[in-house]
Amino acid sequence: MATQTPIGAQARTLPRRIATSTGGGTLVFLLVMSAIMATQNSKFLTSNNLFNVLNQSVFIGILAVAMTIVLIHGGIDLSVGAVAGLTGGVVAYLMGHGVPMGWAFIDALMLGTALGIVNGLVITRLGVPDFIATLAMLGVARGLLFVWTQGVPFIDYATDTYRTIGGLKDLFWQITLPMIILLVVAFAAATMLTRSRFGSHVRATGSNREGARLSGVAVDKVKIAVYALSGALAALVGILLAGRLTTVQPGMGEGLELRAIAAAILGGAALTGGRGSVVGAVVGAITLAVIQNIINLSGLNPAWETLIVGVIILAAVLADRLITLAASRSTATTSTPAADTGSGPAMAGT
Amino acid sequence: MSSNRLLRFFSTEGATIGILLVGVVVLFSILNSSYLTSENIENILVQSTFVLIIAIGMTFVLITGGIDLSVGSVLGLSAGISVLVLVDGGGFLLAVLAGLAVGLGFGLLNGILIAKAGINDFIATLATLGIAGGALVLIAAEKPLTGFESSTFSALANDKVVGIPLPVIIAAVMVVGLELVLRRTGFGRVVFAVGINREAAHLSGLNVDRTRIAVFVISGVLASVSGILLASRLSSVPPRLGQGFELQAIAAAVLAGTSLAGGRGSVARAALGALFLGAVNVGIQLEQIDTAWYQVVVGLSIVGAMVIDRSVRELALSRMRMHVPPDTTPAMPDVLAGAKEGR
Amino acid sequence: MTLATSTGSRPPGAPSEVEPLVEVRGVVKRFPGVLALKGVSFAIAPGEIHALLGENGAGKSTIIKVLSGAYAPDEGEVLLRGEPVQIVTPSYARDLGISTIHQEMTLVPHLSALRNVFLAREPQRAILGQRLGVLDEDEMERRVLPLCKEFDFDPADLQRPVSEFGALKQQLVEIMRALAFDADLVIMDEPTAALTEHESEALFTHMRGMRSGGVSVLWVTHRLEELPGLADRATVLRDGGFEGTVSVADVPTRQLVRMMLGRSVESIAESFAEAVAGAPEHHAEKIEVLRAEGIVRGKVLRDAGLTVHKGEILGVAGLAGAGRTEFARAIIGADPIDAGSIHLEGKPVKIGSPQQAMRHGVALVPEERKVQAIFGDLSVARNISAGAIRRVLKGRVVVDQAKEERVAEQYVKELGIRTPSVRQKIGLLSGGNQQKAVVARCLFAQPKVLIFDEPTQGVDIGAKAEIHRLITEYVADGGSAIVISSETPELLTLCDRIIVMRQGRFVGEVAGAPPHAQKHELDAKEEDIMHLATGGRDVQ
Repeated sequence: MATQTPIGAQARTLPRRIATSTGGGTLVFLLVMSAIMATQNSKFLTSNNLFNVLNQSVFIGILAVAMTIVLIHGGIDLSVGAVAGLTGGVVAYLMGHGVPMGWAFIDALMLGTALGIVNGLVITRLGVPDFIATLAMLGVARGLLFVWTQGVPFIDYATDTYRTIGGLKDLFWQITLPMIILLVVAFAAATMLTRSRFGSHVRATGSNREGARLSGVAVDKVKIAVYALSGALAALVGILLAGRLTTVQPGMGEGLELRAIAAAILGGAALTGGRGSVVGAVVGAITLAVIQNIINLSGLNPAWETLIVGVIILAAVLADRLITLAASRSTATTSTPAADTGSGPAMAGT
Repeated sequence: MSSNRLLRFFSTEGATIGILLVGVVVLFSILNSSYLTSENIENILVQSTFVLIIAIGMTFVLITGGIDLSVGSVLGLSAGISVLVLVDGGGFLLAVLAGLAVGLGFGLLNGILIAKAGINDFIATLATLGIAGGALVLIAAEKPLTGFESSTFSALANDKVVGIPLPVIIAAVMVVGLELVLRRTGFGRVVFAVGINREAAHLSGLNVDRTRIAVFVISGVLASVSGILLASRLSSVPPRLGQGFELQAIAAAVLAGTSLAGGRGSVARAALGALFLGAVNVGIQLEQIDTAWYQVVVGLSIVGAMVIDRSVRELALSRMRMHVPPDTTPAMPDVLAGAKEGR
Repeated sequence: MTLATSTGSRPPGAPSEVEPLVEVRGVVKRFPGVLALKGVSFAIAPGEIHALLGENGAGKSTIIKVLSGAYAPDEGEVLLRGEPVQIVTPSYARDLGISTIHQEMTLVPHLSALRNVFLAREPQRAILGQRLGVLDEDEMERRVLPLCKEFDFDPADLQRPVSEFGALKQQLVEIMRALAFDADLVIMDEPTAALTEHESEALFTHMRGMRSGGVSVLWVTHRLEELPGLADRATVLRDGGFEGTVSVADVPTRQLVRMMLGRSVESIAESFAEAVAGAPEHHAEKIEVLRAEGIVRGKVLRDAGLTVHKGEILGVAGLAGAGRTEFARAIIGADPIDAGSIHLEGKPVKIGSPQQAMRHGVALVPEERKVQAIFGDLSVARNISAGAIRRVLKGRVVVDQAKEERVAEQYVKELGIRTPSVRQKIGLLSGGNQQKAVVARCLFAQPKVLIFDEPTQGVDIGAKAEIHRLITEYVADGGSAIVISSETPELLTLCDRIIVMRQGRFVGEVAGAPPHAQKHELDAKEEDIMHLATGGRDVQ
């Protein structure tokens, strides 16, 4: 049965929504930055370079989508980088020992999901706050990869097919498989969040956890599912990364979580939960990749990128905070909105 | 021992970490006869000091209910800057001051972003972690941070006074001094008050913002102290120095029973936590086990310590509640209702 | 048990005896150290608005949580249409037809109104939907449209996130959520707490609509003036026990108050007066101590101002939501103001934080002890010294613990704080004693003006009188007090004059009652205050 277009909704048309959202701000920033760079360096705007950048952005992109889901839910997953590294190691090791690629992938995905479930259980059953539990998992997973590799990278496992899967070879028109995977993942995540029951529950627990619980939402189950999903996506990135790099360093995956968080925040996610945009996160990931590209093309030390990511996170969070304060000032009924209290998101575990 | 007495013993601050420390020492000394030699004990003590010093700073921040993830990177950058000064020909004093300035600067930055701009402390310190870490790599790429000639600087971490290594003395002085600050000074009281009930502290006229900034400054400065000592010990600064130290500092504090929600904590206990980690680390090295296992241990002990601490407290609390005499008017029935809801 | 009114008087014309919809029998609920419900029995008829009354701590919240499935009773039973039921979870309660609208919002701010209405019970699209959990938005809209018509809710707003709505609209969403699943009983816990007068009226119209539709409402409120013309019957709880169920039309508000407090208004006023009479005399002088003018803050404070004189106890009355606490917080610098000025002893001062306020000599005893005042894990001594730590410092840095304890012991004696020792954790003390400790903390800062926000809330009668005596003694010693309270008898006996706040500004003044005032005098003054506070609506 067709429903009449709600009148109020017209005020929130797409252009307007983009203009007033953090994700929109990021998009503008990206375009402006690219425009400036295009004038500075002729190599930037070539189709080769641009597709390269897109190809690069996939890993952070998928992790940023996962992180957005976790942030909307009101949690945080600091272990995604380490889990990606560990699961990548699993694939490399198994394939290097003759296991067929398909099985290696499945094993990696299962490991990632299992680690995610462990995160969820530690948080819900043991009452450990989200960020501590995933921080601990980060330490454990990273340590395990170091121990396993014994400090020596895994090599010589990548087949031709695997290289293609990892994005070293185009499928067609300079588009690689990982790019397609990112699109599929982003689309699936966005649909899940907006159209499914689970998505509604994920958003509800992040927006008002206690209220959701009293309304009958199975908040603990939702949390475990969200972290399982995050772990699975991290494993997906691990698989792709091992294919792209064709070696698994003992420290693979390090620093990915920082960038994933940055991308998610650039996309409009907030640590307090309830808010976030998958599309915005992908734009954020592309922005980070473009920044890295600009640094490379300008001949600067790659370490600049880490520094800039840090600055970007601060800038994005500050901007977001200013917008929130300004918005609430005009509708102030009671006290000013409290600053983010406590150490990090989702202390709900305690 | 009856279960009640056992419970009270474990609730006694410091009991758990003390037992763990003794346990681990016993374990490794059984496995390896050279563990308990004076040389090895000295090794453990010295190796522990670097994490110990930042754990002290972390404790202050944790008590106020915050967290500082940037300490590892600030440690590294402070080390890098002070060595840079030496390599460039600057003197010992200038090098130390420069290093401390880094810690002070980042501490202020963190504090202001968090207390004044209202940014979540986790995100803010995650960002400054990236900034400081990136800065160190850049500096190290410009100039190799090694090969300086300053006997005073090298003496800092390598000399001994009355047979005890200087870093250990420095650490011990800090532990005693800062524990006293926490327990006996007005400032210490305010730190606890802010952590226990920030709104009440605010309304009572305590300067919450200034206190929160102060603890981040303490954390930053202590990180730089640790960095300078580490640079002295290593005589060089690798580009990723300090990474992962924040995890160890949190582990040390959590093992020591510091609550992540704020309001509880002790510098002395955090020091025991750091010693425990140091004992484990050296034990692993001695047994020639892959040192990467240490990272795994750190991760697991964070979770483990929190769980144990939480169960012990809950048990003790529920026992205590049963002995509260009933009131004429229920003082806080809705409070208890809130607790039952699992909030 | 039939539905005639029980205990107390049996007024003629009791409602006809119908089978109750929901009945509680002999429900007992214990918590560690506290007996929250001592065997409560009452019944709710189908299609009635049934008020649930009682002071703080009377057990209203607890019985609501039993009915809504958050708690299981330790003894007793709950019956639905005569059949005993075990309401094990909130979801089950809803399935049984009992929906609860809690005081704390359970709406999810970031989700649309439509999503909120169907949260946790979302219809899913057929076949594919069942597998993947895809929401059936069409079905949701179809089901909710008739409710939108009934409650005058613009269907266009269904897609907007509820964070964009005002308080009344949010209440409506909660009601629609309750009714979307055929609730027979809707429990509303203080629904008008966040609403303006106008909005409350709108809500009441909807409640009447629900009643005519055959839905019962169990309405928890402490605003007795709202009952007439709306509630059919009222059940009063006191101290965890059942006092009685009465027909609202037949019973004057006075009697309800008496049932709630266990004593009549006059006798309470008398005992207050007795306690106060024992205290030293105080005289309100003409010297102005604090003057606030033109305080503006968003929409909640609009040109509010007052003057307090030396030796005066100034009362502040008003309905919940009038802005009294916000005003107190503004003067003490806890919240920023948009406009306004404050003068202390004639000189203009800038108060940007509570620290500045206290340096100038203005302190606040906050409304919510637990959340805003108590350092639960700390000792009584440390709680008290927090008001002016510098006064117990040696050499401005180190704490003189012996002095701290001496100071605390002095206050314990003077204020009559019942505690085994000053080193006792304050969280273990009773509410009244905790409150006294908070007062001690403020006194330690030697303020010129002390603001008390609901000083005797959740405190038993004995401690109430003691706190009144404290306030009077403080003022007699040369201080000035501002007392914010929702209990008019308290204000009348305690204060020299009472100013009334309504919707963000002060609208009038009533003189305090002289000692040993007659009942009719007290009644008249109380009516004057109510009149000013409500803007002239009739109170029975």
